[in-house]
Amino acid sequence: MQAHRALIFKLIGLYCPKGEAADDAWNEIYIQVHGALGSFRGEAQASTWLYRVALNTLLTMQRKAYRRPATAAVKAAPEPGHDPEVRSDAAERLHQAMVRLPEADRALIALHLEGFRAEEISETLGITANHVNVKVHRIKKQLQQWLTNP
Amino acid sequence: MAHQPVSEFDLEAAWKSAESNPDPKRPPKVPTPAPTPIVRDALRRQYAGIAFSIAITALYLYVLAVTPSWILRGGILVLITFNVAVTLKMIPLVRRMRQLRIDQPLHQFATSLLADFKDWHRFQTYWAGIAFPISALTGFFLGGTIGAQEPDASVLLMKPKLLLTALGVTLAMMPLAIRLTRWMWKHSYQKDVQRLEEWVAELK
Repeated sequence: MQAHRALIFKLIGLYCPKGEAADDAWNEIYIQVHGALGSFRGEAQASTWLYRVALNTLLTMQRKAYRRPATAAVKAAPEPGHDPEVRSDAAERLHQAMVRLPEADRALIALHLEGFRAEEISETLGITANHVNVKVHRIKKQLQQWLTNP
Repeated sequence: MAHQPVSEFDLEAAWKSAESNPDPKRPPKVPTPAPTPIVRDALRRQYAGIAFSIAITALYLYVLAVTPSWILRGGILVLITFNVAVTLKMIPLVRRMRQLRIDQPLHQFATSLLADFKDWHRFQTYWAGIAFPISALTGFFLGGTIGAQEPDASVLLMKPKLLLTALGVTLAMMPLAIRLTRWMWKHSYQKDVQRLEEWVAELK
C-alpha cells in the first residue's frame, strides 16, 4: 500500500475536502485494505485490486465526502489541517476542473492520467476497455474545454 | 499568475505535477476488519431493529402469560410469530451486507450495494404495512379491555360500533405508517442511495 500512497492521496483529494475528512478517508482505506487482504487471490494486479478497494471505500464514505461543486472557477481558501496534495498552479486548475466532473468520471480520468492502460482501468471500474476509451476521450475533451475557456 | 496557453492544456503534466503529500496527521491505528462506512451504518440500524424486536417479543410473552383474554392471546401470538419472522428474514439481509466484497470492480460493487439497500427498503416498507394493522388492533383490544375493566376482550366483540371504529381508524392510519417508514428511510439513506445510483448510471 505504501508504494501506492501517492495516487491514493490524489484520489482522496478528488473526493474529500482537505483536513480531517482526508485523514479519515486515508484511515478508512487503510482499514478496508487490511480487512480485505485475505481475499486477495492474485487474479488482478495488486495495484488494480488496491484502487478498487480505495475507490469503493471512497464511494461509501458517507456525508463527509464532498460533492461536485456548482462552479469550479473560485479557488477555495486554504483550510487548516492536512492537505493531501501540494499543487502547482496548473495542477490546481486541473484539480478544480476534475472535481466538476461526475464522481465516477473523476476516478476514471485520474487512473488514465496516472498512466494506467484502458484494460487496467476497466478491471478497476468494471466496465469494458472500449467504454473506458470512449469515456476518456469525452472527459478529456470536457476538461480541455473548461481549462482553455475558464 | 500566468495560465497555460489557451490552445492546449497538458493534462498529464499537470496531474503529475501535483505532488502528493502522503503524511496524514493521524497515522492509521492497527486496523480491525470492518464493513465499509455506509454498510456499518446500515448494519448498526439493522442490529438495533433486531434488538428492539427481541425486547418487544419479551414484552408480548409477558402479556401473553398474564392476560386471560383469548382474543388478546390470539393477537399477541400473531405478533410474536410476526416478530420472529421479521427477525429471521432480516438475518440473510444482514449476512449479505456483511459479506459484500469491497475488492470488486467499482461498478459491480456499487450495483450490489444498491441492490442490498433497495431490498432492505422494500423489506421495511412491506413489513411496516403488515405490522401496523395487527399491532394497532391488538393494542386496541388491550386498551379496551383495561379501560372497560373487563377480564375478557371478547366483550368488545359484542359492540359492533366499537369494532368498526377500530377497523376504520387502523385502515386510515395504514398509509400514514407506510409513509412514515418511507420518510425515515429517505431521511437516513436517500443521499447515499442517490449517490450509488449516480455512480452506477455514470459507469453504464
